[in-house]
Amino acid sequence: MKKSNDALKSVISIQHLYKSFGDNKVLDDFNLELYQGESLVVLGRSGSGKSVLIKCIIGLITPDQGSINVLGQDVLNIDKIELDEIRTKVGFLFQSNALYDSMTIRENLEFPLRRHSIQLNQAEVDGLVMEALENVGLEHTVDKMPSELSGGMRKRIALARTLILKPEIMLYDEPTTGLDAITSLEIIALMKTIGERYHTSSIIITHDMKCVQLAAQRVAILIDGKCYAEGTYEMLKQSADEKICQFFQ
Amino acid sequence: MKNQNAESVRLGIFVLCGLFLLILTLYFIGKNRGMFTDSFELKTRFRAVNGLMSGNNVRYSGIEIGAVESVVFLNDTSIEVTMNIQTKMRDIIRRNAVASLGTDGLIGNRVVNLFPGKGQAPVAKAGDLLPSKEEVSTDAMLQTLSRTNDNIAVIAEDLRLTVRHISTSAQLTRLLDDLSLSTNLKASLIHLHETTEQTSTLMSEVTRTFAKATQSEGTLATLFTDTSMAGQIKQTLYNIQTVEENAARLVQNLDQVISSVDKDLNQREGTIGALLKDTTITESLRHTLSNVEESTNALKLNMEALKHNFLFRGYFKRMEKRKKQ
Amino acid sequence: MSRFIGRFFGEGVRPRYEFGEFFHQCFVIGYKSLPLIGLTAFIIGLVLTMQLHPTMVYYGIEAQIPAMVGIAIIREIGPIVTSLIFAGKIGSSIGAELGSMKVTEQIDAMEVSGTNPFKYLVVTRTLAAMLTLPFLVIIADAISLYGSFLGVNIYENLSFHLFYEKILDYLFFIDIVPAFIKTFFFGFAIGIIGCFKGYYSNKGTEGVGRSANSAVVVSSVAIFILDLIAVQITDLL
Repeated sequence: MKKSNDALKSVISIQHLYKSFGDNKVLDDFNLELYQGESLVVLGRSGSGKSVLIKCIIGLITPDQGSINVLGQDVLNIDKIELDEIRTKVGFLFQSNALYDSMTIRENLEFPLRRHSIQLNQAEVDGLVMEALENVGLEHTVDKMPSELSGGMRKRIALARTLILKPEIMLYDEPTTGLDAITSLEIIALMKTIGERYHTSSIIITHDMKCVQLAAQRVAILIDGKCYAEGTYEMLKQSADEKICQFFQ
Repeated sequence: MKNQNAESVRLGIFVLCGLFLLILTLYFIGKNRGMFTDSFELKTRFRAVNGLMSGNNVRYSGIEIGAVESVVFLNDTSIEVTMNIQTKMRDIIRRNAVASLGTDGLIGNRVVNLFPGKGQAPVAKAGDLLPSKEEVSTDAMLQTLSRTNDNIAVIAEDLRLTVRHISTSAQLTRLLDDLSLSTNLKASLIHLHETTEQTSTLMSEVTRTFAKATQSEGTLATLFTDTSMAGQIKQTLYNIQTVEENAARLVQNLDQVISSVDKDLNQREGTIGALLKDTTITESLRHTLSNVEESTNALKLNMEALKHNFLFRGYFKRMEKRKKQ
Repeated sequence: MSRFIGRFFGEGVRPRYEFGEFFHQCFVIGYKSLPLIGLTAFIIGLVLTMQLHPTMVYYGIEAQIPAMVGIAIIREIGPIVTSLIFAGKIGSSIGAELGSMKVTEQIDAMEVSGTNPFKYLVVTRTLAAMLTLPFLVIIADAISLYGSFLGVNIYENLSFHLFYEKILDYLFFIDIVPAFIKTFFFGFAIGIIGCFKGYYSNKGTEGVGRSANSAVVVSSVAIFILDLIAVQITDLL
């Protein structure tokens, strides 16, 4: 992976983001930059608003205030068509995988292809589906239903579905939650391989320190709705700050 | 993809089934109301239509030939009913066919019944106005019944007077004794007297029941407005009336005879003398008396029939109960 | 809820239309309900006839059974029973399906995949329920009347021809058309309530169960209320 040099290109830029649900201020003047090709881990406790943050990026949640710039577009002030275009370039791996229960794996993978008004013939669609499944090593499951698969397999299928559009940016929402340690490692390895193969930038939301350690090139810690600290894993590990230390214990 | 095709086919069959059934039902209803057959219009007028509405069937001698198209007021006392009649009936219905209102079954829909009229008439053309016959209504029946009742009361009174007259006339009694007619006549007359009196009370009871029934609503009222039941009632009443007319005639005869006997007895000349001599007249008197007896019996039979008519059953049961007490 | 319905119409008329999913939902919602609804309709027709028979014989009007059952089924029993069973089957499945999709972020995933989930899920399902229920009711009516025909034939011999002639004699358009039209509203209510409950389901498995349950309860009540309104309107005609 290309380690950041001086001429870093920002792909996501979040400035002064505010979001509250009722009295609960989830995001309170949050600022973050994601540079091209890097993988950034956003670390935070459960319920600290990490998921809200990446859902804001993809336009699933509208923040109260602030600006989000993705690939040069202000996602808060664009129309639906432009937003759809952004969404083809930004992959989102849901915490609960969000595989469509009523569809086979093939249909699940075809879904974003067909939906994003991309003109493809059947052969091309089949090719892309098989390629995506190959990437995650699950070609044999193509005609199975999601309910027939294990948790790890489902996660990988969800990843394949996200990757089928070859996004420039990947957003991972707690990719290792609910998986055993070994499967977690597999998934993290897969994320890294894919990142390298397609040169994607990624934001990984997690509270799993193992994941942080393995996947992060840079870590941002989200506390009280703010980007409390930023730095490499090693840097933050040696931090004397009490709040940061809590994560590393 | 194959799966999807099978799905589409089944869905298509499902929708087509539903559509087919819907259209079939609508078509049959329409057909039943004569919407799809060639038809022509005939009109008739009634004073009251008793709930007839457009869509009701029209029958000719009991066969369905069309439907009522519209029911509209012409003025305060007449209602025009327009009927759609199947074109194939064009040569059958004549201009003097009589329209009347009826009911389909015991509590069924209203129907217009057409019956061929008497005599010759040209074939009915579209738009012709057919003569109508008013339905026999319960009210009319009650009026007749009430009149009959009055008549019977008068006759009974007459009879009573005559009988008393006869029974107090010793000579006649003797005379009749001689002719071995007395017992017979007396018994018959008393019988007749009793029966007519009974009829009288019965009639007033009937009138009351009817009045109650027509005032009140519900099943009984429905039964009364039903034509088939009405026919039955009417028949019963008609029977009563015939008997009572017979009785009246007989009594009249008797009256005449008796008055002449009276006169004879008073004047001690004339008919009695002739009577005593003339066997033909004796024969006639005997005949008259046997007639009286017969008709009395007939009246009794009618009473019996009435007892079995369910409308009056309750009354008779009550009577019996009272008797027992 | 009213905003939800408003959104249904707003989104429903605007392209793009989800025809594929709509037909698929018609199949799932309509066609797949057929066996259940057919069975219940048949039993209702049979039982109604058998229950009525003694009373009708008592009044000596057993000849009117076809007409009576026909009117009862076509005007009221067919639509209401079918709709209630439909609400039980479809309302709960829509509620549970959308509820679990909500909980497992499938709705969000759709949004991200360039699909308007409201259109893809809510509009198609509601429309499918709305458009298939009337057909289900018609077919159920027919099956029900066939059940009634068999019921009559338990006691006496009646030809099928005479049976339906008897029914048709007492049937007017005013019996069929309002009954047919009201089922569209029933179907709409079942679909939209199921979707609403699922779409705004609470997080967690319990939320899914609750939304399925309340979808059935609310849509059943809605059917009766709509029926009440429908009968008032029919009465005015």
